[in-house]
Amino acid sequence: MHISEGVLSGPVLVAGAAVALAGTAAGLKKLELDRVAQAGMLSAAFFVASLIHVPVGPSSVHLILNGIVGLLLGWAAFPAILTALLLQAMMFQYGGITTMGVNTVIMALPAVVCYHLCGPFILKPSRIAVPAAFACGAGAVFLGAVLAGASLMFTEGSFLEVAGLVVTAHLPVMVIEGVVTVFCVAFLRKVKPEMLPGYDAAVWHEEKK
Amino acid sequence: MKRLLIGVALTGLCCFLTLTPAHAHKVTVFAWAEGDQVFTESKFSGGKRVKAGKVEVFDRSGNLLLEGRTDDNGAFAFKAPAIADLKIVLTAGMGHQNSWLLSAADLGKSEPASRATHASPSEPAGSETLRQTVSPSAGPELTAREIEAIVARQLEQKIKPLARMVAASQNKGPTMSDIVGGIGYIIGLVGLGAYVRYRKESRRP
Repeated sequence: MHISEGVLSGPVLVAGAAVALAGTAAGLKKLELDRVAQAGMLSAAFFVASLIHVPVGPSSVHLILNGIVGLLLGWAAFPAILTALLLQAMMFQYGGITTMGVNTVIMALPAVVCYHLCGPFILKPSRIAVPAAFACGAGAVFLGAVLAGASLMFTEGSFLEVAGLVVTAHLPVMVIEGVVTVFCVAFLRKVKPEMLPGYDAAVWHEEKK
Repeated sequence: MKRLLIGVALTGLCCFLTLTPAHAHKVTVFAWAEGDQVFTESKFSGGKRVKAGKVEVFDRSGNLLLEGRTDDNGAFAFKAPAIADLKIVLTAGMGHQNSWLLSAADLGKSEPASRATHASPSEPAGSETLRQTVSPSAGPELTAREIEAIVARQLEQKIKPLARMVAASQNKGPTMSDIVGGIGYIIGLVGLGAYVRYRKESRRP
């Protein structure tokens, strides 16, 4: 899902950079210093996840983990993902410096959207929380693929065609990430529920009884 | 708890199974010339060949000279349309693109047109002396131009494996040091955050 240099048109690059900048500013503002370590860990996980590849047909795709990053960080997913993407561009030559903004938006915006859509259900009873966690992991990849298609449509033809291609290629990743997110949430609910969004000690212990 | 453990093990196994040689997310294209034939090789990071990727050849001012598609081995060859700097751009779909610059100097050596132009002013003197020096052993028929062509052909044959080796080594996937280095940067940033946080705390009365 990393878009290379020279593929996108100028306006798309500028718009992407502007949205990424705004998102990062919002994320940094909302990131309390106590959670910097957590953001760093998730940034590192995101950084390494791109090395786990899923071969699909002629091309291949890799894990993204933007769903779980978004779920645990909310708006702070923007700076975390931007940092990881910058390092991926420097170390692995994935993506590029000029496309940094667009790539950040493609992966971080779905993370924030899924945080707001699925986050409120994560601490509900597990018959609601499990589908919500799966939707969060899979949905973040799906929305990312749609955004990638949207940013490519100005240079590579029709939106539906490009987005369809990207979404189809990422179907296995969606399933894997959905499952990974479900297990992460199940684990955190048992071990450290205060990391999950919307945690309220009183309510949580009340519901557990 | 037991169910969770099994789950974690399964996901781990899933991740492990998919940890096959790295592909995609970076493409490279490499081109070299043999005479006026230009050969290109296109790969995803990790060495997987780009099948049916679009290759476009531009001149220095950005005009499209020709285009084609890579075969199953990621190769695409064409006859150089002109002795000029060529920019070879590979587009492999889903936003993957890279390019390779082939300079006129790489192309020009054994092209008759260019050789004739830059060899003609000095040719009479050069070929005369050469003819004299080689005549005892190689016969009077060999001109400087012919010798040049023979040498160029021989050199190309000797260099071909080297060019392929360079093409093969163009692309290695991310190395361990890249990965560890990246994580190190992130830990450093976290350390910076921790520093700011505790400095704020220690300033408090």
